[in-house]
Amino acid sequence: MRWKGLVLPFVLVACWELASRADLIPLQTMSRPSDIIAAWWTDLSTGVLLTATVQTLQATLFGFLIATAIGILTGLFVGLSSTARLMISPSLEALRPVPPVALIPLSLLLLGFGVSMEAAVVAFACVWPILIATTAAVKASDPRLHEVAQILEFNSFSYARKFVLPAALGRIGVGMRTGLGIALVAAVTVEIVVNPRGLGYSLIIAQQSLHPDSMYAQLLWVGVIGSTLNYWLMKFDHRVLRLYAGRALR
Amino acid sequence: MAKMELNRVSLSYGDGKGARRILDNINLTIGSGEFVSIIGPSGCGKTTLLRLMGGLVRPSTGTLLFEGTEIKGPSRQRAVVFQDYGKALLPWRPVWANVALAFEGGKLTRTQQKASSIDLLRSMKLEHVSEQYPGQLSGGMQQRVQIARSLAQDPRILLMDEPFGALDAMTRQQLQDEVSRIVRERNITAVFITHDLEEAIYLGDRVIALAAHPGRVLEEINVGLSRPRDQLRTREHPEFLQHRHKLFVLLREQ
Repeated sequence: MRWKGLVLPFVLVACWELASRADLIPLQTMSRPSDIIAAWWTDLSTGVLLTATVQTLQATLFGFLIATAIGILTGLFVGLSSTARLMISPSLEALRPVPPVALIPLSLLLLGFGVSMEAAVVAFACVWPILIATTAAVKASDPRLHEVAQILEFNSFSYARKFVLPAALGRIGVGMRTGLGIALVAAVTVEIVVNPRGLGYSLIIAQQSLHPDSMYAQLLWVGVIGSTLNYWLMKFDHRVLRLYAGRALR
Repeated sequence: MAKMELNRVSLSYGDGKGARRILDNINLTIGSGEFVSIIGPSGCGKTTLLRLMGGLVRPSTGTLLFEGTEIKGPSRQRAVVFQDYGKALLPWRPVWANVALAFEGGKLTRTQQKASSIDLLRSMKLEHVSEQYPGQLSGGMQQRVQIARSLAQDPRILLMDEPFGALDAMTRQQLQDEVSRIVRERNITAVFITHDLEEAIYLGDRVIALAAHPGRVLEEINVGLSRPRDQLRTREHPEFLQHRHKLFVLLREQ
């Protein structure tokens, strides 16, 4: 019974609305649900919300794609070759604890305001789960498969493509899902902190210009965007897995 | 003519005082077209011996020659059938594509690869499962798929490592006859590792018995039983029983 999950939020929102109408909650900080819906509709119909959404998604996906490419390739290298592991791992371990937010000034200095600097911070933030998942999955691939590849005289590239990557794909997918969640968080953070574009920026503007209803509307909207992204990636994940399971990318 | 020659092959793991000698001074010649069974108690290094022949392990001392050339690593010419078929097959590929793996990197086009794989599967009466995935098949079927893939690589020797060890008795007997038939029809040289005395005699032209700790050759028996062999008649044949008796006593005394 899936509708049961809606009971709690519905009741809470109803209580919130009633309490607000009974003047139990100050409107300056806690907007009324009905006002929030109205504000959402205004933002949507004027196109402000859509523009901001596109801007945020741009940076999120751009950064995420860069991180995916770097994460999977580096993960394959580090997982497959012990030499690569010895050479690259220490540097990665040194970089990993750096908070992505701390890179905002550097990114701004190098790339200026705009989508590039935001994507760069996003990529740095979400590359880690993808990299770690790929490395772990590659390292866990069965030695028996390596022997089969050796007997059939496949080179390292074919071994990685035909044996390792398909076997690791499930775990890489999990890493990518974690990464995508982080990507959105990073994008909105950069927008709130410094970058004058996207949902984060319009959130902070709404708050500073004393439009809490608009701020709440956008807050919820960010949540919806996040769940939608995750849902799409899951779909995509299954499709890629099925493609591999079939015969594409042989 | 000798297909494979092992000259004073030894293998140890570790060095100094902690060294463990797995195989000690193995001398063995395998003739072209011969079916050699290797038997021994667990831990006698029979799997290691097969891995040496496959080029998956290098000996500590001694030499292994295949068709007169020293074995330096794994090669398509020497197919290995592993006991753990579940790990040796690719679960994301349908059966035919698991077989086609052995054609990839060769001269055939995609369509020809599939056609050849299905031909091979047909000859092993596996055509009806060609579109299924390994996980959907019984253990015996999966092992036959692995054997099909080994044949697809067109090997000059077939090295089998306890291939039927994980199967039930009925399936085992069917697969024994199938392997026997394939090897005879294609005139392949075969090495077959097993811990089952009767299986070793039933399949082999020659049975090599190994002793354990360290692994060394204990006895060689030439099996003169005629082919094709029969699960009932061969196993009741006086010569079969004689070999069985001899090997049983030998191995029990180990």
